[in-house]
Amino acid sequence: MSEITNFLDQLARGDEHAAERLLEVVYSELRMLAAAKLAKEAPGHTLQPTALVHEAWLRLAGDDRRDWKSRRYFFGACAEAMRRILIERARHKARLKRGGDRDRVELEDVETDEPLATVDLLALDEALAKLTAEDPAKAELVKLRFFAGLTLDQASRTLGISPATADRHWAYARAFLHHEVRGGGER
Amino acid sequence: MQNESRPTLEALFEACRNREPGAERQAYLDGACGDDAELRSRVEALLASHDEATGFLEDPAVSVSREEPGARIGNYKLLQEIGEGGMGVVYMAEQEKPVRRMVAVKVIKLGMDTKQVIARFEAERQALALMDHANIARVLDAGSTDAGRPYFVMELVRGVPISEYCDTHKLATDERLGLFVDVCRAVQHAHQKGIIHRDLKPTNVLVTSHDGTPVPKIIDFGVAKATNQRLTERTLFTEFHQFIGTPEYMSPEQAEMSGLDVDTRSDIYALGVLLYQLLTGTTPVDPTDLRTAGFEEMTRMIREDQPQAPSTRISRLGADGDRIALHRSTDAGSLTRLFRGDLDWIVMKALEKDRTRRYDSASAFAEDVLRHLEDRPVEAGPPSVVYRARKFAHRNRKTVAAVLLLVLVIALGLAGTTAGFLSASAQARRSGAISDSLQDVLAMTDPARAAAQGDVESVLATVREVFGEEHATYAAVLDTLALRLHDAGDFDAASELGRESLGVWKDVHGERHPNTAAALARLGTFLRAQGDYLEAETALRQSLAIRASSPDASGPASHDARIALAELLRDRGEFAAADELLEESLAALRASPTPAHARIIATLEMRAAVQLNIPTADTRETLRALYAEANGFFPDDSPVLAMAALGYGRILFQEGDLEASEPYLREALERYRAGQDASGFYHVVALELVFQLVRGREDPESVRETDELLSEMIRFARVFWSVDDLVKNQRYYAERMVERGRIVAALDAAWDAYRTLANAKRPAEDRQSLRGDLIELSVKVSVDADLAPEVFALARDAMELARLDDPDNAFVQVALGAVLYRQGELDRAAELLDRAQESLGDSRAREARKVAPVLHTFRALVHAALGDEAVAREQLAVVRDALEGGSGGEHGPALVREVEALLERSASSNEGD
Repeated sequence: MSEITNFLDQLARGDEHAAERLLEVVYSELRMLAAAKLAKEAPGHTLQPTALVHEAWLRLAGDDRRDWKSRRYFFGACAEAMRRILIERARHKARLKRGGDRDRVELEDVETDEPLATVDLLALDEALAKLTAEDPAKAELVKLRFFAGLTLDQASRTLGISPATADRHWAYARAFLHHEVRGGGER
Repeated sequence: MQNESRPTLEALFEACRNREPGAERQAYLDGACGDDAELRSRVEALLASHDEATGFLEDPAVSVSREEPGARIGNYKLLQEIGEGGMGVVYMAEQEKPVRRMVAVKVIKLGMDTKQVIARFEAERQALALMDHANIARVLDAGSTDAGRPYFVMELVRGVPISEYCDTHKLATDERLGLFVDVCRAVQHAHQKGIIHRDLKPTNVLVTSHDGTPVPKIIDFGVAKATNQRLTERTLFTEFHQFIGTPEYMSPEQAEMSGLDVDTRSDIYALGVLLYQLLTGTTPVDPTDLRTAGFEEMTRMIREDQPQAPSTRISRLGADGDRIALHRSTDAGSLTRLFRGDLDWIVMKALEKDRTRRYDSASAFAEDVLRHLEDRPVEAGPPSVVYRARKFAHRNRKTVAAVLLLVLVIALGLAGTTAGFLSASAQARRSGAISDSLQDVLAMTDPARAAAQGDVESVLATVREVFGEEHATYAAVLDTLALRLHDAGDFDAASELGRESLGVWKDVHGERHPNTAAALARLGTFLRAQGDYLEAETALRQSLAIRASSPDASGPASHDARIALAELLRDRGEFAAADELLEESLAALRASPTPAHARIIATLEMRAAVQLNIPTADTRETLRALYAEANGFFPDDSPVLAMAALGYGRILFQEGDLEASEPYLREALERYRAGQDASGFYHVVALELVFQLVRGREDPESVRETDELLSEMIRFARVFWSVDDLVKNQRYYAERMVERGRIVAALDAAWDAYRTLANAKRPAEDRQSLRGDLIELSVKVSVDADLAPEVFALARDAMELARLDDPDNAFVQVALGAVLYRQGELDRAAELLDRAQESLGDSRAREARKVAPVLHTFRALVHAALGDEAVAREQLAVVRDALEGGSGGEHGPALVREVEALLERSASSNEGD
């Protein structure tokens, strides 16, 4: 686990290269935790992303590492990793609907409680890609809020913008994404 | 075109999103977009999405870990976090409807099945409503947050966990028992209504102080059941910790996975653990052992391991035992003696693994504790293992006693030794060893005090028969029995045996032998307990005189005699004599090649308390010594260190040596901030003292620190200060913030003060001058368009409430109108400002002239935004005149520009980037 602490320190010193490796570690850790949960839980149980991210945080960085700089990198990586895992799963589900191999049971088969029910993740991901191209700062804000679960206030501190600006960006980004997801942007 | 219009698109969106859909927006867009149809349709599409998208992406894929203060759950506004447990986070919150009051809201941490939790709570709601007891905090409500997590609303209890309260106030064992009886009675009340707590532990029993009397209150009734904590085989270890939180309070049947129903007797077990902890400062099963054991091992430990009796626990703790005893205003030896017998048995009966052998009700438990307090025989007997031995012994009492004694004598190698063989001190040690071992034997053979008299006779008869009346062993047995009688509260009988034993020791060893001295000291203690102070003093002084000439003069036995004598003198009000004796004690303790630090510290504490009654005493030096001594002895995070620094710093402060006091007071403050006692009473005391030191200084660093200290005090002193003190300080803080130019913080503090008064149900008149402050601050806030929306929301809350108190006040109307304009509620803003204009008119009153520029500016702004250009321009002219006349205020020019910009229909208004 000192590995992750190293990355966080390198990042704090401005080593951009560490970011990608941090992401890799967080990603595999989250997947591993998810798989471990699966093995122990009875079938039909749901996966709790909250518990996963917090366990990952505890395991990777240790509970005492609470300064915002490290959290910023960590939650950035977490948001991205969570996004990848969820999108991966959503794609897999879409494939299954079209007739995939039904017998294999893996991570992708597990139901999540919330996001899949209320948001079309694949459409959201496309819209998010579009927003990233237009305005990366706003897209980053959305990722921190939606995928890493930060509050608007925490996200604004993470990004170094004022709460008022964050509120403005959030309103705009949300309207933009909602419009895109509903297909408004295409026509 | 696209690149050019994009910022405009965002700015337009921003300008419109807080305006009401419909005519208001249309009017604005008509003006702003002109004939750019594409821009207009893009903005409208975005706005339509915006209006539809409420809730969209608001629940994260990874849900937020906790609610933030300021958030709203149902009818409750979360104000600040006040605690965090295994199961959830607790907030102090304000209920707004149907009554305004402060409550505690507990939000359950992890994704439980919310529906089931609420359903289980509903099932028990009626029973919970029937509970009405001064020592039980009511559970008022339950529901689920927007994020779908269950929450419980409870009566707000401003207290600290019972164990912490007892330790910080150094309650003696009897006082602890008194509090515990109150807790039992409350639990009994709940049990009678059919409610089981299931999660009793110190953090769920809070103690508040009412006029100096501690009052325990049990929280969380009904919560554990609703969140259903029964274990299943599937339950993961980590989840187990999260949901159960504190396995050391869990009964064996709860730890068992058979699904055996939990009943009232599980609460009895938890009460037993609680009492164990109040007495010994430790839990029956070591929490570290529990947490490092695997899941299986942990449940096994709870189900099978027989805990040590409280007296045994204290005697095995070593230096920790002394430390724990200090929190109980006594020493480890006395605690061990106090617990042996009644209290051991009472606690162990409650902790029986087999629940049928526990007390059958909380009131039966309480009764037995009371019996002990009133020196009546208790119902509980020796714990189960010993129980069987006792049965055997009971049938063959005399034989067994004789056999045990003989075994003992042989084991100790005492047979055949005579006085001439051993040195005096070796004999004293031997006698002590016999006495200790006998005590253990007697603890087993003595079922209850009722039979004690019979046992005394039978044991004495046996010993006399075996050793003869003139033998040291006979005296040792007498001493043991006397001590037991003393512990049992029969002081007359103890004194009688003490006298007899003294006679035997004198016969065996002569007048000046250490054993004679020890017998005199014991007799002195018994006599003092009996209330015969004069004879007690004589005995103790004789004992000390004998010891003074022996090599044992600085030993622990002499120390005990000296302390007993000092206590006696103190109780009689002879403080100077007590002080002198304590000084001797300290000198003797320090002279020892292996100084007993716990004793030195206890003695210093006692001396400081005695010296406070002697005007000429050097209490400062005693507190300094205490500080120095404690720092070498206690671990760095011990609350005693904070206490020692505070005590020494405070006396320096009181004696006027401010400079010298500062480092100690600061050290105390830092220790309280970092330690377990953070937010406790002494933390606030330390804050107040450092505040007094710093507040007079004028350098920027000190000014800043004063602000911070004041804010910290307000935060932590809520529980301790009266409403008036709290409000006074909140207002003072608001004033300071205004001086600093930190208007938002000032508004926050003034609003806090206002609500404190409102919550205390003070009449509206009491809030009048505060209302004036709030009006002024709200106006100041409104002139700054760049502030965050929360600030305007805060100012609005304040002004809406001010308006309820005083509906026709024109200044409230101006302030509220200005804030509403900032929030985009143009129509209501215009109405209020116009009405204020009417009532203020051309008034020349000072207040009216002061508010006039603001009134005119915001009338200009609101009418410009509403498209009423004529009024806007007319008002703008008035404002410009005022500006030129030099009475526009510092924000005047900026505001005029704001009006002009609006009038020029520039799309990039002040709200843009």
